[in-house]
Amino acid sequence: MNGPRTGGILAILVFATLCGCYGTSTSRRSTGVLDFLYPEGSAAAPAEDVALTLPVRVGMAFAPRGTMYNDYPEASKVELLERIGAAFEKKSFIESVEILPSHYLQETGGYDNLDQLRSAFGIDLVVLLSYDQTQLTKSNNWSITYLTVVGAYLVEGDENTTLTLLDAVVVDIPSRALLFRAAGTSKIEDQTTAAGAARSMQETSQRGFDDATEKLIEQLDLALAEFSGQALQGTVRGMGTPEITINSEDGVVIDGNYGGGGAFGLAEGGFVALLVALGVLGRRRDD
Amino acid sequence: MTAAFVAGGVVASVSPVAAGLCLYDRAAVADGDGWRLLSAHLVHSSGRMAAWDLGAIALLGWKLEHGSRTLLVVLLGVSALGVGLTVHHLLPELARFHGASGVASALFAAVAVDMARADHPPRVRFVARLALLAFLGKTVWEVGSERAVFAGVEVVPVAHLAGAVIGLAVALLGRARVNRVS
Repeated sequence: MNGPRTGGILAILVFATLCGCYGTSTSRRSTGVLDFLYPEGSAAAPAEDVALTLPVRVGMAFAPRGTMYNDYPEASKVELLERIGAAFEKKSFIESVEILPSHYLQETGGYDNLDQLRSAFGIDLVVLLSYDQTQLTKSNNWSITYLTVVGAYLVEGDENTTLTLLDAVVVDIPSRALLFRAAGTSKIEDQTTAAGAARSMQETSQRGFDDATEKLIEQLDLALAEFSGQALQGTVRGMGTPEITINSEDGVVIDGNYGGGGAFGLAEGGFVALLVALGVLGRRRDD
Repeated sequence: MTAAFVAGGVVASVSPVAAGLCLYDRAAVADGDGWRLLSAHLVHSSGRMAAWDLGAIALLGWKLEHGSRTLLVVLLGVSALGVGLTVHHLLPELARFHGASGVASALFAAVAVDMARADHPPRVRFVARLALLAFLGKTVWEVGSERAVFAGVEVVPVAHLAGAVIGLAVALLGRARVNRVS
């Protein structure tokens, strides 16, 4: 064989191999709540005032996927919902948490779909979850050892990054009001061999969802506290947002524009002013 | 100490997250959030309510702190806990509670007891005792009558009465201790 010709073919082969080694790939999966609540063509009607009766019955579901992305398995979704539900169903103001599989929600179902679920399951509020997970893979310098077959099994030449966002919105179905929302995020970086890449991606995907779920539970707790503090002033999220009234099962107003407080008034203020004046006068006399 | 309490009250009243974490919520206390018995006094649902309650505490606390910081600290702690426990146990229908007027009532009673001391002029002592009796009488009457709404809040007179009684007890015990030592 001709020396230079052989050398040229070899160089092309090596170059082609190197191009294959030094590559990046991206995989993504996501769902969206707004696409479900407001399908194309539907008008966004303003939310009405909210009247909650404690304890509430809560439904939890993932928003149905609106795009042809790689979907998170349904069994894993239910497990994740059960974890979040378990963290909150012990709260005294929650009567029950109903896990709703994704196929109970139609892709363009909107609030009409939520009304159907409300009738069927007797829920007052619904927690809609959405997620976005992106997995990036790129090769590092060690991936050149993949040219040897052994290298692909022993050398960690692939670097993976898994970014996960899990978002939850809590909606009051009768009033169509969004009460509060929270999100949990996670970033996992990992190195793997070429042979173990697929399994590693699967594992980091699951870990990403697990970590994001833990953060989501913490953030939901905080968001719930903030909502509780905001409801004290009688609105969902401040001036200009729907008013909110919270009632007990007996129909007694717990919160809203009033809710049981220790408040000094004019008479008490007068007593305080009298004592302070006495104190000032008494001191002047001593001087 | 007074400034710290008032500052805490402002923060808890302005921040919805702080308000949500601090206000007394019977369900949350049942779930284990016992600190709310104390922290509820820092939360106010309107600027007007905060102005009246924290303003009273600022004036009365300043007066007491000049005499004895120890007494003020004890009063704040005992009255906050005492009023919280009273509301929790005596008013089972009350699901939520907030506001510092129970603590303010305790400080009022303590200032009145302080001004009724023998080393004050007779007129001051007389007016202080009268003011204390009138305050106690008013709160007893309110407990027995219809609920009032002030500054957008349904007032809980039991909180005022509990605070006043606790303040009176702490101030009298404190004075007895000082007399014994001297």
